[in-house]
Amino acid sequence: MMPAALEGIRVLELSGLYGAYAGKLFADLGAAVTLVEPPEGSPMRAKPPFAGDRPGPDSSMPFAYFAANKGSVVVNLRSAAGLAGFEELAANAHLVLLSDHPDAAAVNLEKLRAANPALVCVRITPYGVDGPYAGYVGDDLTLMAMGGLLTMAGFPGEAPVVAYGEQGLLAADQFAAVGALAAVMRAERTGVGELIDVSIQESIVMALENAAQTYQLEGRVRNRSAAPARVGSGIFPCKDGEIYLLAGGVGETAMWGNFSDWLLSEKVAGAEIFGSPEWDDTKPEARTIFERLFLPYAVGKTKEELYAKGKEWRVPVAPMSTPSDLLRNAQLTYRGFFVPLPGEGPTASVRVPGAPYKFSATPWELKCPAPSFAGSVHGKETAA
Amino acid sequence: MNDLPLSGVRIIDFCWIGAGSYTTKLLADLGADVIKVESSRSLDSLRLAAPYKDGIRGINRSGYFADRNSSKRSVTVNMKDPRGVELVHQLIADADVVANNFRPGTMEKLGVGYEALQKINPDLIYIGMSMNGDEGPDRTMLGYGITIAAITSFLGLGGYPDREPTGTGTFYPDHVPNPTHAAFAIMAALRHKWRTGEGQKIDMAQTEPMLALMPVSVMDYQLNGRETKRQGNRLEGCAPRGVYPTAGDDRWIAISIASDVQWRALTDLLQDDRLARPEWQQMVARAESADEIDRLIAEATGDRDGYALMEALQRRGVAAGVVQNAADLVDRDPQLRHRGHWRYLPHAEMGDSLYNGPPFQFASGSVGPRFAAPLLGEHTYQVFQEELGKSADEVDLLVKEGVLV
Repeated sequence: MMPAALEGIRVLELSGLYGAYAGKLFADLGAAVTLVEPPEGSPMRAKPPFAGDRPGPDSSMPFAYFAANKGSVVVNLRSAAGLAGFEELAANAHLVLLSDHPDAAAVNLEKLRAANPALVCVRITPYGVDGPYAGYVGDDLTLMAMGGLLTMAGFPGEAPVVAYGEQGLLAADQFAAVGALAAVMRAERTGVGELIDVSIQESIVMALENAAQTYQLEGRVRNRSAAPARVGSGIFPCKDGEIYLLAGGVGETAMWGNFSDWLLSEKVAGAEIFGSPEWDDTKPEARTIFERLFLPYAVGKTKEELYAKGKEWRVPVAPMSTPSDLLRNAQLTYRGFFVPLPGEGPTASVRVPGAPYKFSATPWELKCPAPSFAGSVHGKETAA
Repeated sequence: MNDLPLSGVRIIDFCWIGAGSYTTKLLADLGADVIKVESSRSLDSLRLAAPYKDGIRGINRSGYFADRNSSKRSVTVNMKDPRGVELVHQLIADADVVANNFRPGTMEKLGVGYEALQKINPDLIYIGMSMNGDEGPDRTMLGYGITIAAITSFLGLGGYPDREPTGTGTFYPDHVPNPTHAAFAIMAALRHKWRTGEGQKIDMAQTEPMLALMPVSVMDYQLNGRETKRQGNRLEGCAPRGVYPTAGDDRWIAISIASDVQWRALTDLLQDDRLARPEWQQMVARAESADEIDRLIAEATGDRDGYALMEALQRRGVAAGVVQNAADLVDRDPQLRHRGHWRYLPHAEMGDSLYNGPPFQFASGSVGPRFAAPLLGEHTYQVFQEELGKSADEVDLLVKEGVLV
């Protein structure tokens, strides 16, 4: 039996409403991740929605997912004894992940590193630990604004609208995990730890596609009006919902030719024009012609049927899935993507996203549920 | 120089376009020697993606390509020629990692599938990042960031409730979820290899990291029977939470109120009597009147300078942020400047061009882009001479005969 990929790495996670996904990435590959909770419980235990809409320390859906595979200790970092206890744990750890834990200010990372030179400490903050905005507070929306992604999302001339699911905060967790693992691996080889300062704003800046370079090289500022969908690309209605079609504007000719062949094979009247030399998608009437021909065809087919046709004809098209579609998705089902949460309690056996990658030798594994609060309080450490 | 975290790691990189190239860039910036296998016969299409230096199209002029390929070396190899495949096999024999983001089956056709490479290098780490993964009924589907956003529900859940979805306006899965997950996975496999000597295959479907980042909607559907809908800029637990106009052309500020104390701070600052309703002192009541409150705030912020308002709100502990654009970020943001986020690296055709530094700063010293993106085939001679002991004449001949092109 091979050891798990990250077996033997001991992680202390002092998270709040963000930071937890970084710990989860480690835990799911076999690291021993312990959530250090304040006496009132991790703030994420209070994050909605709740199972049965009944708030309670063990019924938060975000907590059930993001804290799975972790153990928990309750430590009062506001007391000298609690802080000393935590420092003892850190003396024996490889990685400390510190984000918006309510008592983050009590933790002195330099002191931890002095006591344990191989320790890697990661601090995730909205803007980084120093600089003019270091004292600024932020949530996902305000950081997506300051990080430059928000300005590209929404309708021209109207208030921008943020992406679903607090992805800005999660972006920082992901980059934090990358930096942390690199540093832990080096510490294992050299005995020298690291202090890593992660800015959520900067993590969002990483997602700007080509916007920064477009400004630097061509002097253009991308905003919500900069990239109108090419004719043949965008969201279109179909029989049971909507699809996203990407026939125009990618790889230029190949996709469009495939799309044209697809519609001809379906005997869509008038579709010959798409493959003809006269077709020019920059002409003002092109969009009207496209919609007149494609929409009546599309509304007669389901998302799944159109997706299958795209696969057959090599045209990038995808169903605009709803959450319930995902649970029924044939491909995800085949891969066993959604897995039931183990354990007891209000969120037990609900299916959640599983392995984001499949390892042939050291598989991702969901071993234990998020620690129950009662277990944390009484037992100090609940899970392995 | 030898103390970068991934110094000594060699990656033979068949990735192209978006997420794959971003993955190996993260590792290259952390010190890995990434050799990008390209061909002038079949270009990485990102080399022909805007923007270009001075707006002039050219295979060595794309800023988009550059940012995704910092710190890498480029060799050109014609994989249609068996001699090209053989040379690549020799490079792979000594490598730690082979990476690609083709559809399943493409690497096999090129002669660099996992099974073939395992014979050459039994301890190899091999990662494939296709849209749907290596197995399953939809494994051959062609995928892009935007179709991945659609099929994962990420696109459909982003936007205003009563309007067409807007998502991020970008190919988001390509830029954060997939590159970070793949880089993390590769490093985890490297650790395993260092501990046990064992390599392995990693199959990462590009839909799955995105889905792993949005667990709540599927849980809510199962546990509460609710199908999550688009909710604009709102979020349970905050009221108001929105984006409001400020003075100037297309200028906005995001404000998020997470407590009654913050609400009082906001209303004190805005000094608009219409916001002073006693019942709105309570979060629940504010959430119920969210539309009306948003409208009133927008009227109160419309004439104000966004940065001044942000600063005043931040002084009162309120989460507020100006909606910044690329010009704000590159030219003016004092925090990014303080952190040295933007790096300008010299490039033979592009001059000093702009790269993102990493969002993680190491106290021990700088990590991040080490050198600019390679010209197409810039390191062909260097790599085949230094790594495989070819002479310059031999490489010359292989170029002339259409092998290393």
